[in-house]
Amino acid sequence: MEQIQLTGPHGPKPKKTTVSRLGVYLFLFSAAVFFCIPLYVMLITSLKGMPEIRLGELFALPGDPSFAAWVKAWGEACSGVECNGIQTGFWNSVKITIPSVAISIILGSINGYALSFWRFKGSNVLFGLLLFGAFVPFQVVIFPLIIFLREVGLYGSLTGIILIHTIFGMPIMTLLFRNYFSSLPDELFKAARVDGANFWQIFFQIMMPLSIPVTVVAVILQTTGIWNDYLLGLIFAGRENLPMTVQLNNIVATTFGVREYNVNMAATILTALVPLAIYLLSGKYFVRGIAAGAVKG
Amino acid sequence: MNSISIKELDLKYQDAHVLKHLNLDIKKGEFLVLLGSSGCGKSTLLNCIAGLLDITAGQIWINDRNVTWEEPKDRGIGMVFQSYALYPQMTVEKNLSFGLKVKGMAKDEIRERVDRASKILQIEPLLHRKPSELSGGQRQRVAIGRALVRDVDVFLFDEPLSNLDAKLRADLRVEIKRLHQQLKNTMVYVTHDQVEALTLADRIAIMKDGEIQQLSTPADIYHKPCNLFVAQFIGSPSMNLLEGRVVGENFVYQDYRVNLMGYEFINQGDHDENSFLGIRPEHLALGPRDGYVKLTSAKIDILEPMGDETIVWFDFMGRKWSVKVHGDHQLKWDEDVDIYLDPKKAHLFSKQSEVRL
Repeated sequence: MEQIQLTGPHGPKPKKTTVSRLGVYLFLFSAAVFFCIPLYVMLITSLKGMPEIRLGELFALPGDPSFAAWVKAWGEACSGVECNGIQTGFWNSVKITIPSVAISIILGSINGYALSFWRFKGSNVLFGLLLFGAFVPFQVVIFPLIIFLREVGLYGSLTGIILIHTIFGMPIMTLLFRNYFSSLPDELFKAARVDGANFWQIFFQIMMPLSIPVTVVAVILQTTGIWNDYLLGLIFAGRENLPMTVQLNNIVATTFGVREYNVNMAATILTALVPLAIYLLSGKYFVRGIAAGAVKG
Repeated sequence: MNSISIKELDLKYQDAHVLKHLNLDIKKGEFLVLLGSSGCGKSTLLNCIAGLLDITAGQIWINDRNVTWEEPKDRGIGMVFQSYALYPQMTVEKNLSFGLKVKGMAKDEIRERVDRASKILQIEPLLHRKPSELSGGQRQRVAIGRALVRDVDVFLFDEPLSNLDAKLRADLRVEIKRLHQQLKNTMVYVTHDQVEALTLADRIAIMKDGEIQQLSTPADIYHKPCNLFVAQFIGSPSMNLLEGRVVGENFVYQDYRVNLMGYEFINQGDHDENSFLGIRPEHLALGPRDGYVKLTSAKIDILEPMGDETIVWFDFMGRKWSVKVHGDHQLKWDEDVDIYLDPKKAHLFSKQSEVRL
């Protein structure tokens, strides 16, 4: 076959760098710089020694980078009279976060499943009430909650703080899972019922395996939320179980002796490491999970 | 002997009366099609039979057992859905065996049943694939298989072919018919597609607003529609209508009269009332024929050639009329033609009650 010679525009449209595109890149770049500078300062300060910090050259790279401040922050920094570093807080936070995340997600998914498939009289009202719970400012209920926990003997205990996190996570977890399950075809549930599966069999064998994307989202939301919590931990956890955030504050705010900026920076980065790692590792799934929930099951 | 009996079934939501005093008997081994446009309650009725919806009043009997309060799994039914509703995370084999496993059936027996069903439906090579790796037709076949392994007497189909493209739909339609001839189960099939209804059904129940309008064989429904709604619903293009008056053996409109020699009135005797005359496009002709009477002359408005036949549209008495003629006819747009009608094939409906005269 003979090739026909085409004149005029043909084939794919040529891509040109336009002014508006340059503007977009410029904006993105400056936004990235804006968010990176504090992190940069923290990182280099934590690697400097105190004499170097006193020079006041905030943006200068460390002359002799060392992890001494990190080691001290982890194992020796003082908060009040104790000098065990931030590691106690880290392990406390782990002990609080893992059960709280697990329990709130399990309960939230069961709630969401029941509310979207097993509609019963008043289920919409119940859902509305639960949603309302998400908008109640929690300062309002702190005092009654303290009394309640004191009465049942859980105030200032690990169980108590886990219970509190589970309760506060319930509305948003239920909402997340209910919306996700509502996006699944109703016929799937009907088919399982005709097949003879009961409430739990449908939940565990059909719905749970389908809800992996939304579960990833839930894990991210809850882990970062609970890990970053300060107020609830301070109030309900008790002195033995203070989470990392509270202990970080105690270390940074200690007014005794010299302020060790490098240790403070290192302790702060250590505290932020867990949520940061979760975002970096699961960001892809996070976006995918939200998109999957929004469009289709 | 009845396979399914529905007695005085009522279903109400807050303000909507979806099913009204419904009575329906389905014989053993019968293929019954519930036909109607969307919102007529046909799928709702099927869900009631399956036990997936709670009813407001009435009874449902399956195999001479009152199952009104029973769970879907205890009713001895299998169901096939429009969206296939296969469990996405399970292989075809697991999809088929899930219900049996839940029931606690022995492994050998499950194997046997899955093998038998997959042989019947020719899905053996697909057993280890997941639903996402199957085509639409294959998925629907697996969905039928899931009903098949349950070894039940009653199959319920909820618009099973509506998600497929035209060619596959025709293929799978034939397969469902073959399956029915082979298994001889009772099948209740919901569709809005009249071709599916006419080709598959032993009997069709045409529904509108939660009531059954006519329950009869496809031939009866087509040739003797019991009221104006059924007449208009079945047939494509739909039946031509003419408003006028029945006087004795004649249909009178304006100054014209059509002799209805050979029309079988339901009630013999003197007729004199306002009515509609209906005639299907294939019972009109563009020229004189044996037993036909002349209706009018008209100008061709639109021609729709479909290969084997051509549909000719013209305006008559303020309505669009259509005639089906053989595809070989040489016709031109704007041409004048004479329209003849077969009075034996005409339909008369009372204008007031819309029932057949």
